Amino acid sequence: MRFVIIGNGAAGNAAAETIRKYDENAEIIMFSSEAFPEYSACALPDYISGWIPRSHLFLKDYDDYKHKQIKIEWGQSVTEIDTVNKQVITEKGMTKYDKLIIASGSRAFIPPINGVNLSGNFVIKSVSDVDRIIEHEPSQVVVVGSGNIGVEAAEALEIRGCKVTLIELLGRVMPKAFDAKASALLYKILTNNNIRVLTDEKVLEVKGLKQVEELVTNRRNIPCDTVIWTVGVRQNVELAQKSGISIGKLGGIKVNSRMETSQQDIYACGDCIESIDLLTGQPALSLLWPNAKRQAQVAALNCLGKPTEYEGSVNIIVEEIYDTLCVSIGFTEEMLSGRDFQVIENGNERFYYRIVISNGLIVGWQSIGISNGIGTILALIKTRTPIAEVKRVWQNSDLVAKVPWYLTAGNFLFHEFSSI
Amino acid sequence: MNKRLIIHAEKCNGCGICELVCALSHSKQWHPSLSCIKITADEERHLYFPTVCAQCIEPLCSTACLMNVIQKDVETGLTVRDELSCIGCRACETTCPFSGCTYDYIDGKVVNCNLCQGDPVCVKYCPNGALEFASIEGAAAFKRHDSARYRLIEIFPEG
Amino acid sequence: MYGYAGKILDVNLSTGQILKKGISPQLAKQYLGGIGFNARILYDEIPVGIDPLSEENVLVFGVGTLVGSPFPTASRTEASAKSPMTELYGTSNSGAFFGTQLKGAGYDALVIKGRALNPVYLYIEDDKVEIRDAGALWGKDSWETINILKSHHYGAEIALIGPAGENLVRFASIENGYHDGWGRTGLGAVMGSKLLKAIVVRGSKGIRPKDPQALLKTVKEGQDLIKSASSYKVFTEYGTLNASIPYGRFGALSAHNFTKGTLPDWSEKAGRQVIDKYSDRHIACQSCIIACGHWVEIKEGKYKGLKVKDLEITPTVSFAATVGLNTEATIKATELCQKYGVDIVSAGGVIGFAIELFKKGIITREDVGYELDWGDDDAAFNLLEDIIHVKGIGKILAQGTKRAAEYFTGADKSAIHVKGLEIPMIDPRGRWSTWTLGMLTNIRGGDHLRCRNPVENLRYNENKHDYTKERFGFKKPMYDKLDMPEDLKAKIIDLENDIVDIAQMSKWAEDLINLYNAVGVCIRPPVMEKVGPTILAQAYSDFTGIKVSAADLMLAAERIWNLIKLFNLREGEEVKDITFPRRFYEEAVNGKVLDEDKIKNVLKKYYEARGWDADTSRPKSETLARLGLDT
Repeated sequence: MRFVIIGNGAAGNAAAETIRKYDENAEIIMFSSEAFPEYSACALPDYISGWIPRSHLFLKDYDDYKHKQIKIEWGQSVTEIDTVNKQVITEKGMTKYDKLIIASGSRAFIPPINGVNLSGNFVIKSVSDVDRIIEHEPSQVVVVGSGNIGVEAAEALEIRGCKVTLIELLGRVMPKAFDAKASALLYKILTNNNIRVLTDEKVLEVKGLKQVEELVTNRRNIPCDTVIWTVGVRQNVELAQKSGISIGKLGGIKVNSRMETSQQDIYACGDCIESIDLLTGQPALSLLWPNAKRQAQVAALNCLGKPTEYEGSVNIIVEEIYDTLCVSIGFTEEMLSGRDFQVIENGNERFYYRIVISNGLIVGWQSIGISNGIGTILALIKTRTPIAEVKRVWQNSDLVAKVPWYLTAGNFLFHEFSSI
Repeated sequence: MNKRLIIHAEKCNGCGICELVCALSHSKQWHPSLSCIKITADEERHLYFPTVCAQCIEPLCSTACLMNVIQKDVETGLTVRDELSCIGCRACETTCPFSGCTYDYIDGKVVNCNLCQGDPVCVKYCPNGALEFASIEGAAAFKRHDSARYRLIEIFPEG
Repeated sequence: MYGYAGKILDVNLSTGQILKKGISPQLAKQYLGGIGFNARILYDEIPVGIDPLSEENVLVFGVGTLVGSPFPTASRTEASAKSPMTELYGTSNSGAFFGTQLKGAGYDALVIKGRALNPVYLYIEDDKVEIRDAGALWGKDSWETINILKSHHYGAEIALIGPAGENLVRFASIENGYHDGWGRTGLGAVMGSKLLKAIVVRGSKGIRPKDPQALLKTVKEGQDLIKSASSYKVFTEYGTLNASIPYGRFGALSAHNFTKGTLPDWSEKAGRQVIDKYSDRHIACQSCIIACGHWVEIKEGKYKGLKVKDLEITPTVSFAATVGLNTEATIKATELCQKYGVDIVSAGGVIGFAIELFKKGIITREDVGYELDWGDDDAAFNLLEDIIHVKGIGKILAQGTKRAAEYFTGADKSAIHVKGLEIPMIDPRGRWSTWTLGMLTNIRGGDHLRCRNPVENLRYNENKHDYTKERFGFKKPMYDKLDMPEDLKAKIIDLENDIVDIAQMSKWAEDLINLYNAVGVCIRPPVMEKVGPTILAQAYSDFTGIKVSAADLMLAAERIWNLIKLFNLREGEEVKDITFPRRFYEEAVNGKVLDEDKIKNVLKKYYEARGWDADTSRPKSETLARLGLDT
């Protein structure tokens, strides 16, 4: 049986490893558009900051593929999928497949405004991006977009010694991860560390003769030599679309709960797909490393003839910003507007957290400065355990002794905090 | 090796000896935050429960790991880490339902219980019998690893 | 530094100055830690003759050396200052988890000087030390204060005063978290006089043992030793309450302010069965393998809903015997004492004193505002409230029995104290032992916690030898296993005649307990029976890397005791103060009184055993030279 995998990222590799784990003899061929062995894109900011050396980014070396008997074609983009003859086509030729897994990922997006082609504009998606940034020797940096990558990039560059401005279009930092209070705490951490944070501000253009010299927003001009665009990604679905595979409304490849696309024997996983949200059952984009790996696992198992259902994705964002752990899971209050919801929140000098509840179920968590016990809340979210049930067990010391980790969850939910 | 740490949480009285000896044997110094076994407390009710890595068969931490450093050891069946490759992102710590990951703030890495090469020190020093190192062939002990995947009502049916 | 955190934190509330001083190896080896550091610091830094409630008093918290290691029961911290009750060395010891955090923050001792302008609390988090406004907390009871501070400073441990300390009730305590405390000698009033409401501490620094593997072995040895103690099993089940029935049988309780040896319903209200009735859970301090504390819940009746750590012997006797309350009211009394922040023993003693005066007509309904009677809990708690808030007659009683007695003619007969500190629990007329001699010789006054025969036998109550000897009551194996130098053992215990020399055993026991209070382990009987200077020397060496022998440790303990004695003498302690209340010599209980001459005689023997002048109790110059205290 020959398995062909398009993509050498988190999903592609997880799929390959799952197949190899269950089938020693399967033929696995991977196509990687980049020439690098698998690396962790999530760790790129840590390389920028100097926390880790470049070599540490790579999770495999070239030999690892050989050892696992994975044939990998470097630097080859698949240009066409011939679904009739079951083969993929690159500039080098054609490769037949019995099962095909598309894990083509996503690419960073730069808005089409003036000046983005000047030297000094960057994204952070691949190792080459970061190599270029470092070669550029950034000094006065503007990071556009305060999602998780933007915030991490801002911190990394500040630690590196740059003067950093972080610009966010919406009214607060990390608006999709945090509601106002948590976001305000994050804002304070960033500004306490000399990052200038501008919210409610729109970038109009980038100016400069041959390279970036200035960034213009609707409020001011910011002199700079580097612009990092972290405003979002676009999914790499053109290949699939061209081949007749259905694309969903949100722009990702449509898959069912077994990661099967609309084409027989073709599966998809990772950033490029439209996933199902575990809590709502609705289509959702879930562009996160752990979800990509799990989806790939499911796809691979189904490829191998072991039917497995994907439980759906939960958005989990974990950031360590200046030694403070900032976590966001599931839905924010803002995402639920229009629906009935309830918030439990507590905060003191050390930490802040809030739990977002809808219809008696926990649907979201945000915390700044908490490290222990978040997984207990995540387990309740994923199992869709009603709060009332948690309370019944938590209140009963004999019952909770049998599931002691839920004591922590119960304390977050039900403990009364007094204030001075 | 199919022996695992079995926790009899109702016997714990929060003396903290397990945390001290665990930290001492791993990092040569005492501090509870360096311990792989942690005691959760509810002071109002004087409840104390130890929690530790459950050595899950399909560990969530492994999927969450942003550097893919967590695997299952083929021989021992334990959840092991390539500590040198860990960058201390703490994604695993956030995901584990058992609070089984410990952030070593000195080295900037996350560790989990490795059962002390088959002779867990916490079991030896716990004075109350709250920790047991025993075979997990029995269904009840084994279920704990997966119990975070079940809804509470399935574990404790009402009535 | 290994084993030690390495620094002493010195905070001056008048000037706001915060100093972090190093610990010299000399200080470590000579004074070990805990009460040792406290004694040295107070002797050097408190001017003679000051008012304990003035800003010149110095309050020190000394963490035991072994705290931070898993050595069994290594949790204890000693707090000391000049006592508002006795005007001598005041000191108290508490376990739980405060010492763990203070040491984990990097400090082996905390010294507090001066006085703040407004109510403050001290916030310590590793290197960060801040004096913060406590205006919003002043006036709140200790449980409420802890709720607020713990919400704000999650994970911290808290030492604090309740309203009693704020109002300078002389026997106010410093509470250690919700349920533990530094109860005796009025340290809470000292803290209150400094306008210091609380000390919040959180430590995240590691403590490094010199030899972790050796330490772990010693820890295991210590655990096994304690588990082999004859009292281990009953202690883990019933805690300190084990002694309550024997003392009832001996007629040696403080019942009704030491006018009765016991009460008719004693075994119903203070026997082991009350533990089974009210408690289903044990509470441990840091590193403890005994967990003698009981988590108590009252599920019905007048005090329904009450939850507290209690049913220890001292509170039980203080309220169920001295004041005559029933079991549930006794538990309520403990809760009130914890919340108000007041010493349970002195509170019971003062209330018992007041009731006796009332019954005699020395104080009347007009003086009090309501009736007082033995066993009347409503009255007792009203009186306690008046004391805490220094209202009405409470204003007088808040000064302790010694001073309160001066206000009423003939009241001194009912003031049961030694050197100004109320005597707890045991009536020496009912039973004489090393323990009761210890009430006289105790550095802090009338107290039962600084001297106890480590192999005390609760089965016998004989007094055949003019107070100089007590029955050993064990066979040779117990003698052999006792960790004491052989030549000393032969002098103290006469195995053939089955007797123990009380004077010499007192010296040994006091030094041993002092050693415990310096290295930070707990004085519970299973520990005292088995943990001696030999294994402590091993643990100390493994932990700190400073090599000491058992003899070195006992010498250090003796040094500390003598230094505190010098402090007391300097403050004006006289031999004539070292005596029991007249009641014990003049009023019989069960037909027994104490013979004053024989007491004086055994005291002289004790002074000789200690190397002190037999007439003045002053340490002789050769003793001071031997201990290095002669400069």
